[in-house]
Amino acid sequence: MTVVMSTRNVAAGDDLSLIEDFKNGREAAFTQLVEKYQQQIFNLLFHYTGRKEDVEDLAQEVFIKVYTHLADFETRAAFRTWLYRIALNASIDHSRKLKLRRMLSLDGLTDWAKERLTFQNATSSPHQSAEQSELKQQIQAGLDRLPEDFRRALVLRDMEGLEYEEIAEITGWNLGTVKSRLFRGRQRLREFLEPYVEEAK
Amino acid sequence: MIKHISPENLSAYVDSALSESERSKVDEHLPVCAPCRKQVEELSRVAAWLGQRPDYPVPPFFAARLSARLKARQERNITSDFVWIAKRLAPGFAIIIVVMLAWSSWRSSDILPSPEDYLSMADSTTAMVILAESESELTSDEVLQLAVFESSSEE
Repeated sequence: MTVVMSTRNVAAGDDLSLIEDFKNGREAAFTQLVEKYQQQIFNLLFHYTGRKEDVEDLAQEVFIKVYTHLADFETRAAFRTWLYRIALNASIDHSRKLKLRRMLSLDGLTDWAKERLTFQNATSSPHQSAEQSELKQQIQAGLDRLPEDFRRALVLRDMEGLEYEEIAEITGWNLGTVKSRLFRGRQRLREFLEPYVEEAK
Repeated sequence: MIKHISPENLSAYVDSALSESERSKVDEHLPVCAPCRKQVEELSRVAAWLGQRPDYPVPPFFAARLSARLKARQERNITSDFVWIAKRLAPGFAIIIVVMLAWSSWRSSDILPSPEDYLSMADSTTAMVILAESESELTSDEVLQLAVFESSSEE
């Protein structure tokens, strides 16, 4: 998270001058933009999809889309918001495809059943399995089970650390919706992670 | 009876996303309300857990590899641009060639062969028929037919 924290406050003016440079034909300006945001985008893609094996391809897809449309980018908007919107849409599309594939294949069903079983085992003996890595897995499993709107809210706020206003801009929701989806997402995840919540007390 | 704070506002309180007045209401309420305190504790615990996720390791030279890929793509685009232009120009070229052929055949039909040309053509045909007849076992009629076929296909 340190990288995210340090780049979050970098003036958006830097982005605009890089974009101008790119529009004037300096290709290296695009590479600089990629280097600046790659960590945040990899985090977002991984946290949203939970799929290590697909993250790099997705990130390439996102930045290629950015490259293709950067010339048309309206510099009145914030570049970061625009970039996050592209990455988030790519994540959502990918998750939907995965879900569909999982629904259509028997293997997917078995995997899903295995995950459920792991979770049930974990809930039946929280004292033995309350290790950090186990918790991480359960958080990801919990996120995967959340309805997409809640997952979007939690990933953007709690994992990427964005402000409510920026989340509203990225998702197109109003501030009230951001607030309620965050609460309901946390609530659902809390229920899913009940044994750990109890353990931590 | 105590009027509780809405859970959405408790969640926003965890994020310090409430307005000044809303925040002070929560600040006053929490010390006297155990259920709301518990709610805040649990929500902030979940938020903290999510926030503890480490950075995903960006593969080495990602940006460099990406720009190489984009460069290759662009070069491919230039080639396909060329193909695109060639495809658009092809019908024009075809029309020009057809017009030139038509023009040249019209020009050649203008220049009619002289009687001497016919005579020399007839002489060489007779010589060829005799030669072909002697070297192959065809009849003179067959050779002539072949010769006619040959010369018509030449035209």
